[in-house]
Amino acid sequence: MIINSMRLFLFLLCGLFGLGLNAQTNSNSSTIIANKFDFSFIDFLISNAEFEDALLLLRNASNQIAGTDEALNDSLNYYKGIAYYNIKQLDSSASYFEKIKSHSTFYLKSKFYENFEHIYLGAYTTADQKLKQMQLVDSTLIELKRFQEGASALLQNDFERFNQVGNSFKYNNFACAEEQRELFKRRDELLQNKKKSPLLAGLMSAVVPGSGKFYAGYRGQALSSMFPTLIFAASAAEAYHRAGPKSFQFIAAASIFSIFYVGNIWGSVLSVKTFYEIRNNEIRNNIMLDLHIPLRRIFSN
Amino acid sequence: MICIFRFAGYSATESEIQLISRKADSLYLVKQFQLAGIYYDQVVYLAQDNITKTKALLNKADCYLERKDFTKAEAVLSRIFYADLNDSLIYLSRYKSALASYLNGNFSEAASQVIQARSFIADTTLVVNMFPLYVLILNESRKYDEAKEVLLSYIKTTHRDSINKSAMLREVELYYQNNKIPHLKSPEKAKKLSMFLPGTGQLYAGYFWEGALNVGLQLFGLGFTGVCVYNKYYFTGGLIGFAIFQKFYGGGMNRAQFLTEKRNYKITRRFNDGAKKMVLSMR
Repeated sequence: MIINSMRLFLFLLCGLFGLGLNAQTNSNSSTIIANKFDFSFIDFLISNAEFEDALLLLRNASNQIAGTDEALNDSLNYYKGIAYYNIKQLDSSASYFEKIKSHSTFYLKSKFYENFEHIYLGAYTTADQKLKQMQLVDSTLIELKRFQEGASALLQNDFERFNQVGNSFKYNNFACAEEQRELFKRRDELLQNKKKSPLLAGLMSAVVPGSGKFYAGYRGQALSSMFPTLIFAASAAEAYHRAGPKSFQFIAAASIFSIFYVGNIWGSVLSVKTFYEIRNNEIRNNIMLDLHIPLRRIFSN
Repeated sequence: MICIFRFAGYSATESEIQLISRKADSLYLVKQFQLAGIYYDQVVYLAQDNITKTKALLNKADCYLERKDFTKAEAVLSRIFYADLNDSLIYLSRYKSALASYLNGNFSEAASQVIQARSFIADTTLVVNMFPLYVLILNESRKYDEAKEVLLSYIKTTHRDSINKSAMLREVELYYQNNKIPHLKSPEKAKKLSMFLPGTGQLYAGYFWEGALNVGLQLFGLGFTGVCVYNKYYFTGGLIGFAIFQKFYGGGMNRAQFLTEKRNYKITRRFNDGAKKMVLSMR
């Protein structure tokens, strides 16, 4: 029993000393040293969707090797970035991808993922800056970079910049050609989704109840909000005609009509904004989806 | 501290895998389930033979079951490769997979695991041990006749004295009597009933007072219309009175449908929970 425990301890220490020894080795041989480590178990965990387990190991490993070996740190940061990306903690993922140095083999992949995450999180300025700094030679990656730049511009409603970037698309790479074309469709959809006037919607509903909602884009709701208002208007008119302006019937019907009438106007004013935002979010979500697909295709993750 | 990184090119020997496995077991015993799970996964990663891998996956699934993460337990067990396993390991794997799926509310998958076990395990004495779980799965799937047959055959194959056995058989027969089995009512039928005769859908679902209230409110709407028309308030009566009636009429239909679903759920739950207690007491 004691011997077995000792052997286990020694076996486990094997890994620990691996980390510890590398921490003490000089930086010139950092790449070689990093290669001595086998991250394939982390890879194994990630490929089996055991992201929390992978992160637990990576966190412990980080505590052991913090600030020691650059290549090793790059690997740790890369795997942390991938694990966080998979559990959809994109801000954490981006922060680890950001730490990866330019000479790392993981650099390009992590930069594209990081850019995607910044764009997804709405940090467009950061994404644009990082995309600008990328120096690429591979034609596929150049197209991917242009695609991300285009998507970022579109999400910022910067159509002029999108047109500039979009006109440089070559559509010569299957990995992103279709999505590049899709971006132009999204641009047209965004341009068609114009902001309408809440004042005009309110005025329209004041004249013809429900017409403001029709103008805002909610065609079905226009009728459903028009009918109750008209019903109570008719009821109030009837009460006025039959019982006079001071009668209980008229006051009750007119009060209910007023509530519906004013509510309808106010609802029309708000609906202009909500219709625009819902449609806008729909288009933006489609852009995000398009943004994601080439990444998966190129880096097969 | 977790020291799980290895050097590249390093391959673990059988005894080292056993050591990791024991480490995992000891972590499991002290309820460090996540860590234990990682070590079991390391065994899966390092082991060459499928039997060791399968055992480790079963243990890892136990870690998730202890953590009440049934979805993950199900996912881990789906990684088992059944090709060259012996009957007892196939049994264990299928049993645990069925259990994880059952706990996860995935009853069709749970039943599929039991059916596969029955098809692929030659040793029927092993498969019989799955029957209590299968009964619970069948109950949840509302296949009561099949559940009763499976439970009866389980009791017949268990090693008990004949008095005890016949008492159990009697208990099962009594529990699964036709008048005790949940007879579900059709939510669609309830809706249609309320459509033709307001309130009857709720009555059909067993909610008399709700039905009466709904009828009362609809009658109020119609009465209001009548009074208004009588007093020559044609618009008010025709539109507002009818709107009140129409709202409660439409709402009543939907409510009848919902109440039938609620009633079905309640009686099913009561029966299945009782059956669960009985099955567990028979194991």
